[in-house]
Amino acid sequence: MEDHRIMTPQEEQVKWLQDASNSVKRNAFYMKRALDEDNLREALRYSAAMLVELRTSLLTPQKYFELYMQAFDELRHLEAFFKEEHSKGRSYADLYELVQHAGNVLPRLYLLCTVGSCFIRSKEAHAKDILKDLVEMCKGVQHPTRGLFLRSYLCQVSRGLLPDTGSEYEGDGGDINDALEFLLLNFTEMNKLWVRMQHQGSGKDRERRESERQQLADLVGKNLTYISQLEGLDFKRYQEVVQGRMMEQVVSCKDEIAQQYLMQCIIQGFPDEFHLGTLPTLLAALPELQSGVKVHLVLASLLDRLSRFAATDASVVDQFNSSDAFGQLLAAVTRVSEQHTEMPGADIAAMYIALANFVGAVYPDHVDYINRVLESCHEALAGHGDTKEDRTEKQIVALLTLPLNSYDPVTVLGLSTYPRVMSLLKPATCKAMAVKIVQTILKVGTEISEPAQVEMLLDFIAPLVADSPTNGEEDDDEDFEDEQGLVARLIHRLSAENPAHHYALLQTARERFSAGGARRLRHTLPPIAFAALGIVHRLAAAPNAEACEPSPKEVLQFVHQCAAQLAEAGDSAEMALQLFLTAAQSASGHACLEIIAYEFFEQAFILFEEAIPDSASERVALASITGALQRCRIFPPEPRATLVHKATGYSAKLLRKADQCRAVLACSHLYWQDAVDEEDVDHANNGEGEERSAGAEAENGASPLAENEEDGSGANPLQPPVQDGEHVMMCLKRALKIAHAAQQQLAVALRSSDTLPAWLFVEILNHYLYYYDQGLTSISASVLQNLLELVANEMAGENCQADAGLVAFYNNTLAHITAQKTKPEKASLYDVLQI
Amino acid sequence: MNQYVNKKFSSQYKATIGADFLTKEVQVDDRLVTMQIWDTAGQERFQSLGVAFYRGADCCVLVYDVNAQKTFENLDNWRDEFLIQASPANPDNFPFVVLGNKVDMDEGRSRVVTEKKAKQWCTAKGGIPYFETSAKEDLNVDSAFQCIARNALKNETEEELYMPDTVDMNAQAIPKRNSSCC
Repeated sequence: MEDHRIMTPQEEQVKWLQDASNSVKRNAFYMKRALDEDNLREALRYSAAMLVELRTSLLTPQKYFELYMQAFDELRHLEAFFKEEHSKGRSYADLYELVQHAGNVLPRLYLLCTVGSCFIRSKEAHAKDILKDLVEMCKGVQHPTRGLFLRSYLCQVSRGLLPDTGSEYEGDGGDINDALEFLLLNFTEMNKLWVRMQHQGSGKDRERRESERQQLADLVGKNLTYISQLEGLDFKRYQEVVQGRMMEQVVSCKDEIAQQYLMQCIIQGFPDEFHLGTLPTLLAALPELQSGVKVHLVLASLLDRLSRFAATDASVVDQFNSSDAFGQLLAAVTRVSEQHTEMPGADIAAMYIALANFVGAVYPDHVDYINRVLESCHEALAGHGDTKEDRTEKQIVALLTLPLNSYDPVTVLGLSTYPRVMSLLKPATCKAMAVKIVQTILKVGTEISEPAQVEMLLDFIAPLVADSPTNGEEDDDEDFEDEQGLVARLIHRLSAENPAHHYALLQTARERFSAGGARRLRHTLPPIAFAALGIVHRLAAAPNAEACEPSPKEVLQFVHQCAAQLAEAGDSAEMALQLFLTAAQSASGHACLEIIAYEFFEQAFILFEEAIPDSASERVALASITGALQRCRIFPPEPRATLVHKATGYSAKLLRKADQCRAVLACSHLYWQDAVDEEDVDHANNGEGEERSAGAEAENGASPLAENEEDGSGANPLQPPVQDGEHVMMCLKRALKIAHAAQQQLAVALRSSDTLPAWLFVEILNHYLYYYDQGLTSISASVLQNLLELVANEMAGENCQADAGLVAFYNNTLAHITAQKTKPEKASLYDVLQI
Repeated sequence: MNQYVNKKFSSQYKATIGADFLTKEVQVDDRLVTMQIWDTAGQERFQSLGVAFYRGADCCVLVYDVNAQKTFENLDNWRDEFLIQASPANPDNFPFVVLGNKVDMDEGRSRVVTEKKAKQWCTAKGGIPYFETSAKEDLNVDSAFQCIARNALKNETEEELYMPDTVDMNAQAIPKRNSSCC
């Protein structure tokens, strides 16, 4: 029963193919039966009937190909029979005549090709004559799809039968020229059929037609594979005959699809050496192609081949150079963009990308070539309408990013054309590009060692360094943080062997970053300041630090400016304070500059008093101050006392009792510095010559150098460590007092967030133990024993036992005492203590 | 393929456009069979008409480059693709042969896929015969194709019997095809 439902085009195709296929099978069946019966006439009749199915116009090329393959297989039976007939004495000339009686031209030509191939193989006829005859006669079929498959059949059955050089059919059968002529003619005819297809039928079918043409492409391209496989095709013949004929056909057909495809075929199908040797001809064709052809794809595949070729053998690059391959390529690209003004900007840029890729792969020493590529690209795009389109911008960014990876990024950025191409981008894209530049430099690990390079680099990343007046839109906060993080990392790429040079780089950078506003300064100033402290360290380590240019003092002043600027920028007081403290330690420890170090502490104190926003931050800041001051050994007694007094005073101002208590405990250490580490002293004074003994210095505060220091510019020797038991005791007692006060306060109103006073007592106990161990005479064993009992009472409370952390802390403390008892050298101290 | 049929080899890279095709007569025991060898384009862009020639194949030869890991890894894809497109009646037992080619390259120093690895893969896929070849040096090419021909013949099942709708009473038995295709 016939199904009357409307079929989809796919279903129709399947059905039509099925019908045609059945008919092929049926006729093939009768053909083969006739062959078995030795009935040539019947066999030919059925084979013609079978081949008539190939006259269908209903099938798409891919379906037609299936039908063709079926018929192709069946024709092999006929071919075998022809050979048999021949062995029985029938001449091929006879058969060649006989098959021409088929009524229809298409079956007739398939049969003729089949016999023709046998005829050539028998060598009863000259290959060149039969081939010429067949390739001419195929002109009888002018329907594109049928004609293309017929000619492809001709090619296939004559495979191996061409009078190629060294082939058994060479000689009387002709020579390589005949073989080439046959294939070139077939190629030309097929291309004409293929192109003509574009112009048949109505405009509304265009899309379908173009898709069918794409499917048929390989039938045309196949000829080129066969040409390229010929033994007799040497470079000379390729250059003199083949290339010209192919290119002529490609250019003159004026068909986009054909040009796009065939250029790829030529590039992929013939060897590298051929392309290199005929580059001018190949490139000359590019501007001649239709404007819709994606020349950048053609070019990219050519350049990809050439650069891989260059990688195989160093002599290839010499060949490139001697023929100025780069110059030729650049000129060709330039010509294409001049010729096709309507070409999309993105495609133009893509051509230059292909070229830049090639240059990067083949000419690692020729960054000047990149300059020329960019220059030409700028010219091509400067007047172009769609430069600001997203697609184009994306390509321009890719073009600018490429050489940063294949060459030294700083050198590339220094190319005169680089900023010009970058100026084609919209401000927002410039920013994205700036991010790419920074990322690449960080990835490659380039060192930036010239102030001019810093200037240049910052010009390129200007959108990251400061707000641009044209770019009003607010950035996403997270993006902003990420970008500034990158910039901060970039600062660590500024570096030079010579400290003076390095310092100059940082100065340049700071000047530029100053325009960035508070939001950026909090990211950019700290790395600059820390890099500068690194320089101080290097300078101080030099044998004659004070004679250095710049002096450590000068660099520290620079750090001071950075920190001060950061403090003024608002919202960054804590960071500025930390910076002052770090600088103070550097001034004290490395550079031995007392007055500078003092100034840094004063600045930190001012910030503490005026700018720290909340009590939690105050606690942290004070801890930092105490820590820094404790380690400083530069100050003579009087200035040191002033600083210590202030810091201790701050501890009383903290809001919570617990904080006060801990701060006072910390302050106790300001009166008790660790015993001298002789190596440190040596290091700090190594500017003084090595003959001075470390021991001599440890015992006095007045080394010869101290007298030199009139204005703070001379390096100071370190002071002996302060060990002031009286003040330590005052601190400890105050801490106990505060802890008791906290306990009382807590008894009035206990809040869950409060620290249990027992914590404070255990901490105090630990401090007592420390000083006891240090040999502080005011702490006797009985004092300690009393304290131990006090704490034990505290710990007995229910609240305390519920706090697992506290219990662990306390137990660890007791375990420490027990452990100390076992040490012979400590036994005398600890034995008396009872737990 | 060119080495096997024409005893020719070229090391120059030339892409195959469309499917290439050669025939070779080969003696297997007492039978002379004609082998049709189809070589598919390696680049997809040159495979515009599809792979109708997979259908009806009697054997499928998968070739990889022992010096390029990727080509070995791609064997799976090629095998799957073949089975999908050719849709043979019995995919699990369809005869494949694997060739590890270019063993001559750099005297084996650039080799990255070991023979053991390749054989493991072949065993895992149901015992596919494996040959190490050099098309350049004509090493093992003939014996590989002998094996291919044998496997193809083994697979040559009786063709799906075709009878026309109208039966001619004089019809005789269908001749047995002696050609195989791979």
